[in-house]
Amino acid sequence: MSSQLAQIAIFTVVGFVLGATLLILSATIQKIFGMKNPTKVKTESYECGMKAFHDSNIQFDIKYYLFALMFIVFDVEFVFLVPWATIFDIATNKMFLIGEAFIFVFILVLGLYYAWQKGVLEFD
Amino acid sequence: MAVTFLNLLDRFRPHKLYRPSWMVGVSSFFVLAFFWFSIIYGATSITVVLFAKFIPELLQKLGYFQIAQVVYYLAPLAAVLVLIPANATFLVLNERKILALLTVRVGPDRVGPNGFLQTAADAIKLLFKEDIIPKGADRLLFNLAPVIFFGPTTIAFIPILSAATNNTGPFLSCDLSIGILFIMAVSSIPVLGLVLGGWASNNKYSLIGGLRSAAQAISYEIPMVLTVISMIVLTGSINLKEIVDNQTGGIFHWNIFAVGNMHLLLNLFPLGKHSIVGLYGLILFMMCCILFLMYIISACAEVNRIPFDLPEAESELVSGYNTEYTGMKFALFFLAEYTALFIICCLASILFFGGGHLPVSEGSENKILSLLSSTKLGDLSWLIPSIALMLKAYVLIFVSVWVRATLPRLRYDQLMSFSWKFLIPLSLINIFVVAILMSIKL
Repeated sequence: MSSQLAQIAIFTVVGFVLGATLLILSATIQKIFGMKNPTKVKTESYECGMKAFHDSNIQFDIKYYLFALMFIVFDVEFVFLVPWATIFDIATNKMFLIGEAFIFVFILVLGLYYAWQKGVLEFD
Repeated sequence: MAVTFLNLLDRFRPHKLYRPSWMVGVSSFFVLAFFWFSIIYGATSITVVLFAKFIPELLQKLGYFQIAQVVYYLAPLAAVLVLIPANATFLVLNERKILALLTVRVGPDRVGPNGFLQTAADAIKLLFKEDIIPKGADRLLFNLAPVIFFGPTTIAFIPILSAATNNTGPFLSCDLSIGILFIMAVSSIPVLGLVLGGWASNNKYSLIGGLRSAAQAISYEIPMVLTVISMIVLTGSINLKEIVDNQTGGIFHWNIFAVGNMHLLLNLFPLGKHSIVGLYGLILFMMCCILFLMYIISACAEVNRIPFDLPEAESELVSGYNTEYTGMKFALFFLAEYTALFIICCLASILFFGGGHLPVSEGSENKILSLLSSTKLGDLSWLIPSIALMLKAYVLIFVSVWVRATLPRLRYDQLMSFSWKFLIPLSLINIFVVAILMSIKL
């Protein structure tokens, strides 16, 4: 087991370090060849060729937040369902297991139904 | 050689008729794909052999036993580090060529024979390109976002490597008992990079793109994981290696064919007292097909493939979160996106299409494997399953490019309601249908 953990640790470190290394490499190449020439127009943020109208911190729809809120509920649901699914094959009283999971999922579906009725799922 | 030959054939045609028939296009594409595949696969295998065999032996001769052991454990990492760039380079070229063929164009054909080196040249261009940071951008987060997006795709390879190589040799240390859960957990990290990049760019398009990608990724992660939970119920394991092992014994033992219960369908035909058994098999087979479709749809949406590429809709958001990115940072986004697509397709072929199993019976497969299990270069039996898995993944990638060429982009409200009002309720129902089917077990 420890060798697996070591493997995960190595991959994690190298995965992030590799990305950073590529960025540093490209920055070094640019420094060597002197390709860095930021002019005032070039660093302007892109807005269809026009000068940017306002600050980019625009207001955005509250719907995004509501979707994130609903996602968290379902995300926790996975965590509880995965062990259930894993032992399902070796369990003896399978109907009891299905009933348990049904009650658990049914409560969540009630929440989804409520959100649906309240119009959270409508984007307009 | 063959590619140049086909090009030569084209050159000798009358100029006004310069439109090679689709046969020429398709065959030259296959030649190109074959050469690229040999490069990717050859480079990766040579790296593995170097790290698992030659360098440790050399170090042992010199007396560095500890370092030799460490180098041996680094072989999977080295394989992934070679595989990711080579694979993404090929996949981009592959996609452009197939799209060109499907829309009756020639596609990139200038750099190298038949455009063989087009994306390699693009990569070099991106490395040398000027790096522009927009005014008012959050510099730290702007630089961090591509790294956060790229990092997890490397990590997600660990369980796939163990499934792709049957845990032989140095890949034994990649065998995670929670394989699927690990991939699911890791593959939900990259969206953080998209949101950060969109926010840090100081650009309205990027911000909207980042928000959209976050909303889309979380919406489609739910049906994807619920579908995978149904597959866990069917296969009874969350270890990718075990799932692959359960599918031994030829094409009809793959999970897509009723989890290896395809023989039950034979009971349907006399329509006697056993026909209920046949009906059970038929329902199981249909469930597997539905699960596969749902998995591939939500997985494509998860990695922002067309028709679900709302976060980077070129025509409305000018590439969304990567509008302001240039050079190597843009390349990292690109690299990670195609690697994520490859991982998704690998997982699909492990879950549904037998992973690294060849479509032959168990005996002949073992015979093929035993040919390679004791060579001069050590145990090379991992070559066969890994090549099979890669080819299956490439077929699925071809299907995703095909879908891209066929379907237009969805509207954003359609995209969200498709996930929340159709896929999520259906996947919740699927879990119980599958569970009831498994509890009957004829």
